[in-house]
Amino acid sequence: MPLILIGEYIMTNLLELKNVSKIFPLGGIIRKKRVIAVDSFSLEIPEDQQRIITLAGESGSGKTTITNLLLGFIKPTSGEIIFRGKNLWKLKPDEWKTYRREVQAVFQDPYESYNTFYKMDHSLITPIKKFRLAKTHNEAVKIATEALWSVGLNADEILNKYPHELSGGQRQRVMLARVFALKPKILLADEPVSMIDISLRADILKIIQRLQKEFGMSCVYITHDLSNAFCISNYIIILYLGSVMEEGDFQAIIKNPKHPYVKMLIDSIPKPNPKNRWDSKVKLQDVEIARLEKIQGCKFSNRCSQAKKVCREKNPDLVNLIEDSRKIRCFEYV
Amino acid sequence: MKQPFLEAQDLRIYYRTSTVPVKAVDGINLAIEEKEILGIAGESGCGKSTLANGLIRMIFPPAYIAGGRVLFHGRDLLKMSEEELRQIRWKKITFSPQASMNSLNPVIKILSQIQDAMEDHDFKRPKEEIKIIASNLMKNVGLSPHILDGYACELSGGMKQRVIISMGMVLSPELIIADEPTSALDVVVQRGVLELLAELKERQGTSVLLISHDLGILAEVVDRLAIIYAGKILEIQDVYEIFNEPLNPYTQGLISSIPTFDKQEIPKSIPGLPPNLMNPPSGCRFHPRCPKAMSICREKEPELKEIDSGKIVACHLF
Amino acid sequence: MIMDNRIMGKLKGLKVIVENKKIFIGLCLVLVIYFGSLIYTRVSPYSPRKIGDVPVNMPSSPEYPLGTDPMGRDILTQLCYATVSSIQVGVAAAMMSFTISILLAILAGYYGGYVDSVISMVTEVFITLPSLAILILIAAVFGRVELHMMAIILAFFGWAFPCKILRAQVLSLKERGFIKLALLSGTHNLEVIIREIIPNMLPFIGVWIAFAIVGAMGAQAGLELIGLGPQTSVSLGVMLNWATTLAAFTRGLINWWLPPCLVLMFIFLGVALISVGLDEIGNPKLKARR
Repeated sequence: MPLILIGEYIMTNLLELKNVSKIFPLGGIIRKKRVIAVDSFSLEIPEDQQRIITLAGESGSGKTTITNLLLGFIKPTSGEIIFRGKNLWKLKPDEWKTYRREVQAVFQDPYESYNTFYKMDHSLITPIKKFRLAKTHNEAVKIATEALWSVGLNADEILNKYPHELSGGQRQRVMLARVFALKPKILLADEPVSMIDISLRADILKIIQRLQKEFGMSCVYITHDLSNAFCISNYIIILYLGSVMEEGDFQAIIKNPKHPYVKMLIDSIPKPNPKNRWDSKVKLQDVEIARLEKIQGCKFSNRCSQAKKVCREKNPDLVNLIEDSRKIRCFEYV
Repeated sequence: MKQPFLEAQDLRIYYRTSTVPVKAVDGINLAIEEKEILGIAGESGCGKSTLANGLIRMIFPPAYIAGGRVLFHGRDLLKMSEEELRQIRWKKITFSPQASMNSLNPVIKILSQIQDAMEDHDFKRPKEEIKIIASNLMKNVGLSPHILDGYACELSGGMKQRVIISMGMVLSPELIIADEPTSALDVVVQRGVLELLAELKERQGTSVLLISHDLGILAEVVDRLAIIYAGKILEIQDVYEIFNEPLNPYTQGLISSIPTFDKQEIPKSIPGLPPNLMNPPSGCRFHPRCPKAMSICREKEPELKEIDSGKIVACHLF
Repeated sequence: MIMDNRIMGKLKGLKVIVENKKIFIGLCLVLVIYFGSLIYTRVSPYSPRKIGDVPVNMPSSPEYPLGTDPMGRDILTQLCYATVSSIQVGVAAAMMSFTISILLAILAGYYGGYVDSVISMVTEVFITLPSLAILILIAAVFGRVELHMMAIILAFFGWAFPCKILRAQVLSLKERGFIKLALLSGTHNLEVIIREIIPNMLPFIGVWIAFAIVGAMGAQAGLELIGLGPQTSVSLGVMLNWATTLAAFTRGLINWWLPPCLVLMFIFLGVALISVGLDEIGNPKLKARR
């Protein structure tokens, strides 16, 4: 008896990037330079599969641009951004408000996230009222107080203070309290712990993990520091010069990286184990120049020790590897 | 045992405030040997940057030297005249402070900045010679000499940091003090800069004092590691030994709090926060957060002593 | 709206402003000069312009505190009317010019794109206009310029430079993290401008309004001095023009030509103090933030 597929289960994606590219023109009167920040990138965040996805890359990888695209701050040059089945940039005003409510972010710099003109309550009360989560001011304060309590802060010590009166760790926790209050479906965490003291990072990571488990929130954790992301995420996408080089199960990729760039990246992560030191020298590339030049073929080819002739001529596609459910962009594995 | 050529003895550096001084560095004993990379690890606010600045007397108000000596080949740097000190800075000891890559002037060509630095330190040579020296410097750190004609804004973070390090290497100093040299850099670039420092030690016999909060990078390149907490040194050991068998409970807590790829869980960090240095805890400064604290830890400060060859620790457990 | 917070913020803000010594002294200086002159114009029995109102060239006396001018007018009365006129024109011109500057700066800086390109181009053109040459041309065509026209012309030439500076300020504020978070909180663009961007620009705005007033008054005095000023009213520059025409310097009529200079100087000093004080307020906040 042949296998018959009975119907097809269509899973709606909450937020999706479909072959999105973003090209920035740089000045230049005679020879206009262009930077391809993001090159045909696709990402699906499904409605009910809540997990923490790591979007990893060094500077110049395009991760900041992707964050800005996902948050609707910039428009894609080509490709589509789709929110609940509709093109993000064609949403009606009330649909846009829903999008704003359901996609939130936490940023890297806890100092910059606040307008020093206002006290801390401004950043919590404003979104609570804008998204109609409370009908009166007092109700809003109540929600803010509960949210602060959820992240281990006392509202009496926070709401009436100015940003400069609190520490970096406290400010970042207030940012997360804001997320607690809004309960978005997707959280974009852009380097949430890189500017926080080492001893306080665990607290922030725990809060993000709780948000995911308690509210079924999906999180995209954007970073260049894989060791912190590894604590709470199990899926990783590694970017290089705007393209995905490898993506899949975090643990599998760390234990057995396949793509030459990913191998070099993971090998270069400093490990607190002197017995296992770096044994070979790494070859550095000046990324600023690389982003401007049009590299023929694979973007990593000029640094790759395993580069073959075809690598310099054609750009490989991102393909699914059959043996483990990961995707890789490399002629070595095609 | 190699000969230490730079020794800090009971060094104290405090900051004046309107009330009680902040005791940022409070009685530090440290020795740097020839041809070694000594790492100093500590959380933010523990005094490691103040210590780095203090070793070459780059202390400005409200900070002041409250006591101790810094012996460089037997001579106390803290008592030297400004002129004598100038002969040592940049020539014998170079200092790369935190975020120093931002100290490159964005509107002057790189070559001119190198030239200015040389002239400031009485290293006068004809222009052509400087250009050759600068080109070699760039090649030594893996950069193409043509960036000398460019400007700092055209360089990435990693390139700027390598330029800064290379500028410090002009006169083949005996010691480089590098304070968080890789903090804003990407992982692969960070590795390149650290490998460069290790190479400088191997090839030119330069010692490096590497200061960082990241135990991972210290584990990769240093020979010995010192742990600093609240202005005091708690432990100094060979790097293999310290990771194998950390003696001080603070060191143990610090190492366990590093996220690794062995376990997919959030590591346990040391509870509590580092103390206020205006009014540090009595006795051992770590005792309020120490899981192995005894009553004596609250009363008496432990002495930093060598309990075995190469194992130096300040803890009442020993 | 967070009414409590905003009212408290405004009151506290005013308190901070007035507490600053420089602002306090500057404000006192300017307000005393203006209101003092205004009151005197109401109580003085003399006319500022009527020729032969009083005996000519009288030295200072209790009856004529600054003496009288060669055309028979009480100098103190003249001075007070002139001060009031000059300040009114200066402030009016500055307000008009500044309104244009800030509106265009926000449109260009915040919205960017084509709007920015167009506004920036127009601003650059206006900055490079040779204002003095054009003003002389206008005067040659129209004869003299009356006060209200003077205000409009000063505004016309004065808006461009502050606009450029303010636009740069808006551009840099727009990139700050808290703006992104305001947008993510569902705040609309207009509200972001009013509630997030402008409060952070208040010290700048204060400083540039001060510059605008000083610039307008200086330009006005300069134009009047060379004879392009109004015929039917008196202002500080006009007084100086009359004094120059009637050779007050060589004739040693110090009571006539010195007071207008001093008044201008003190007004400028007061405004300068206010702007330095506002700058001080703007900056400690940044320092305190870290």
